[in-house]
Amino acid sequence: MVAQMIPLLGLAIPTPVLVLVLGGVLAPFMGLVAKRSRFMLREFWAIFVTALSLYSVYQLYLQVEASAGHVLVVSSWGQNPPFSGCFEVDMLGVFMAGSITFLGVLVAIYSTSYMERETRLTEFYTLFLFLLAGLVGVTMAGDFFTLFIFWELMSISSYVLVAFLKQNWGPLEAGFKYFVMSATGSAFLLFSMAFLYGMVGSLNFASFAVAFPNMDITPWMVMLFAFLLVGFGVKAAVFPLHTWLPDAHPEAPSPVSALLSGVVIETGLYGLTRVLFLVFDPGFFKFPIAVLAFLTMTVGNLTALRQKDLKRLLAYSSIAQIGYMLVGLAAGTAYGVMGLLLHVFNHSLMKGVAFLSAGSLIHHAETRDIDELRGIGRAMPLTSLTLVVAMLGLGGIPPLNGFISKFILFNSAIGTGLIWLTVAGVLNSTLSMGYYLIVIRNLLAKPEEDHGVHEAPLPMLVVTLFMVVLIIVFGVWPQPAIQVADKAALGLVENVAEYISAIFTP
Amino acid sequence: MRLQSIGYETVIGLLVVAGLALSFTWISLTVEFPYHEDDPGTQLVPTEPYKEIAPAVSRFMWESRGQDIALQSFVIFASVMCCLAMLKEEAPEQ
Amino acid sequence: MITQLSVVLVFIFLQFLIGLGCLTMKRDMVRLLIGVEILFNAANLCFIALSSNVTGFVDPLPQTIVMMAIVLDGSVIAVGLAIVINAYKHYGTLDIRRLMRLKW
Repeated sequence: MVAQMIPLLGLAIPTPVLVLVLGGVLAPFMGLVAKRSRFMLREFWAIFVTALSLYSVYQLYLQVEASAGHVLVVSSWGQNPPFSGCFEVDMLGVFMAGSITFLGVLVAIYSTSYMERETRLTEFYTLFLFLLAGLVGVTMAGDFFTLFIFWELMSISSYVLVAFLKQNWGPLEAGFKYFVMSATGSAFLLFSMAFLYGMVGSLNFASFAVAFPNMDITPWMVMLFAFLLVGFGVKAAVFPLHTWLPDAHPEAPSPVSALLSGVVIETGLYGLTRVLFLVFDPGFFKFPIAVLAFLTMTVGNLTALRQKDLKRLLAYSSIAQIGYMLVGLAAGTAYGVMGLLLHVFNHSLMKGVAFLSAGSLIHHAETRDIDELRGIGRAMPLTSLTLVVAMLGLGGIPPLNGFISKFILFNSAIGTGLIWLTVAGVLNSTLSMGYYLIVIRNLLAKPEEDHGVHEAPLPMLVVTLFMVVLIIVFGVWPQPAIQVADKAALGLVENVAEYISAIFTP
Repeated sequence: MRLQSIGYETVIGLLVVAGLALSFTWISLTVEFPYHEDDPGTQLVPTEPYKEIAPAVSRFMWESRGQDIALQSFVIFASVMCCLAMLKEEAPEQ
Repeated sequence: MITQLSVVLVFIFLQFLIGLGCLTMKRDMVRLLIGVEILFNAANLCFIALSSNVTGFVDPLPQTIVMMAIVLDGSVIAVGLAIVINAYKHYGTLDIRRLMRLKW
């Protein structure tokens, strides 16, 4: 199977996107069949499609690795790239797509037993597959409008997945707030696209890389920077625009929360990174992004200290982790971006485990309050162990993988002269262990009455244990992840010439 | 709108909007927009035969942006599934 | 120097600010959706204004982008209205100041 494109009626798009989109289109038919028979056809279809997309991302990685210049351009019907939409797959896109589909497979296996008593399961799995399709499409897009189409696909799937449990008032209020803020962000993104078009003449990323290094800083460029920051920053939860996140992540169903915290906000950060590095010079955005990183970290950590709701505490901790990733973006070097990408992968694993095992605990105990979950570690020992390991990893304890990526991020900030940011980052990391230890103490305390061991159902348990094993393995032996992240970061920051020449070959 | 019922949020909102409006107007009237210099003859459509603009634009759209139009159909499908998910009333399956 | 493009851009910015003002100052949920729609339309107008800048020629690329962007934001507003319908069933009112139960 040619991994790069499958010419389906002449439409050539990269295989992971095609697999996920076709899986999403065929999922309602699986739902119709599953209603007649008593077989769990929808869940197996979702697991099959996501596993197939993970395999095709791996094949695409091998193909990008083997091609000259490490960039592949995919466009269909013989369209000419500077004026038409195209997909440009480089190592950065493959890295993000691998992270997304990997978490997608695990969440699909988890949600077979979490969501089994809910209604409208056909729509849930269809929108789940469309969310993954939109995410992978954003990371592989080579043209800004193609990115916008997949951005909207991802966004509308996530609005409804947040508001999915519509019997209660909480998801609807959170979903509406998330909808208004995110739709406003999309409008800002469209506006910045208009400015970019006016300044360059086409919307291709390679044309930006050709035309922008020669432009000097006018007030229009500053306005463009502000609009891009708002447009991508609403989805990536940077400081003043993060207020939708503490409402939306707890109220969503737990598998959807894991996907939202694990990959959706990182895809917003990917968009910001890609466009900022192609359009602006790193010295221009170093100071504003550093200030935003500091504010995001501090606000996230300080507000998490007051939380009494377990999932809301994890949501504020996601905001703080986005702050750490912005430190890598503020550094502006390939080393900083490598730290950012490695932290994206590690955070998707750790926050994914945290939300999934918190979902198992809440599924059993029917409450989200930390004080009421006191002593549940005796009733569900393995699940509490996974939550404890995930929280230690998020705080940055050495043998786990969170330590390695945080070390690279703060080290890169020193290298470019932002020493105050490194000090603030280390202090914030220490502060975050404060609230993680409160939760760990509550989990491991002695309960009033002892009900015996009543562990989570098998799919939920197996997924969380597997991810914890991966956290420990990547903490002790991070070399494979570091190598791929290094190639991805070099492809973005240094080898822009190959990115340009893949489209503008004479 | 009675005068006592205008809260402080409305006043702050109006001030921010007025400030932004003045600064945007100032910027866009003093600094010229850096429009790109294009090499004519690439894909610009001449305005002279007025009835020919629309067929030329639609030919451009299908030739150059056909892939995006095909992918947009999936967005429409996804929004139909979203509305179904939000508006369906189903009893829980036992 | 004041060109035709700068005057049109001033009016597009004013429409953008009207959309933002509608989002911050109105308290009815459907009016917030209308504010989002005004913002999307301002961005589309900006594309159209930039397409007719060269005298004697029309640039077809922004016009095709506008045609696709109209479809996309129409579907976004449709999903938003579905959420508003369900929120109305729970709260009994469309007033967004009543949706303040999730705090801190």
